Amino acid sequence: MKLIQKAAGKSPWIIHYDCNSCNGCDIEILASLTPIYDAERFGVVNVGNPKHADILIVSGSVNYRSRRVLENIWREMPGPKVVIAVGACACTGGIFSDCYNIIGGVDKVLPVDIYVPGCAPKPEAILDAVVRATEKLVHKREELAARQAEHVAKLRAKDPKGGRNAEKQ
Amino acid sequence: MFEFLRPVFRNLLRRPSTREYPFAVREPFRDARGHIEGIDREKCVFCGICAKKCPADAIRVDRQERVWELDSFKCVVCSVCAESCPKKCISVSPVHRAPAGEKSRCAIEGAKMETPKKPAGINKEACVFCGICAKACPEGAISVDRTEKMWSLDKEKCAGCMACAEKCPKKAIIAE
Repeated sequence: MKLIQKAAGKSPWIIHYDCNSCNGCDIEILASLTPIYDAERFGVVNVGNPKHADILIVSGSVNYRSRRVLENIWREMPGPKVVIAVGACACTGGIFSDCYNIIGGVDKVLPVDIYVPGCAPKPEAILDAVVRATEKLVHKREELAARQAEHVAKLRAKDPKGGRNAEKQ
Repeated sequence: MFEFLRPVFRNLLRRPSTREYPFAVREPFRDARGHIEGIDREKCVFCGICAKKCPADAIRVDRQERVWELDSFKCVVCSVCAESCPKKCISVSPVHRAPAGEKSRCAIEGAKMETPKKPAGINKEACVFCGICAKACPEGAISVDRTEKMWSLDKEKCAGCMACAEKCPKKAIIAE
């Protein structure tokens, strides 16, 4: 189990969603995945299916149309998961924050773990964010495992013969 | 024959084209705009021109409290604030701002300084009453009437940035 925990931290898969972006940030995100910057050195793979992904990278501010899709992607991802908001728009709404159709930054809809400032951010900044996201993911996994162990211990204390032990007997 | 061996060996011997970013950091380009560092609190007169010019509405200036505040995560680093600052006190760093787990604001409190210089009047012979100074004034403290040849200043409103004197094509505004 520990090996799986450690291995998962070495290869977090990402899904990239363009919420309402002007494509500037998207180009930088894809640039950081190209061989020049090569985010795959950190084990990152860009996948198209949210069910395979651990890290959600969002660019652009959230509007009333894209909100549903964004929340859907987030719900389909298995936990624990990390959300990165790339660019000024994803962080706060940016220059579009006063527009009639804009809800605001990604943090108005989802819990964001890492904010990347800039318009558009440099690929270096996105690489930094991905590395920080992997660290955060490992931390979240450990927390979850500890919580689960605590829960199991509590159940055991309540009913020592219950659960799986009961089945064995 | 074996034409393909040439690129194979070339690729084997050549250094990889990947930039080893976290281990080797490149120098920023010349005139690159990385992030707004802040203001020189000794020089700033808190006129608020930067806040008005900012396209992202990321800067807030309070003249009474003498506070300059930048929402670094809303800033699009266009550096219009630095260019439009009449005192040239906003500094732009060529290095990008690092990603963070929380959105932080860059708030700078101004130093207590003596009352800023304000325009005392105009040189009536040089002034052509073009009204450029009134347009440049961030507080709308100057009113110019071209037909009446009148120039007046509301000293209560004036922040003392002297943007009017800087913009005046005839250099007709006299400082106190």
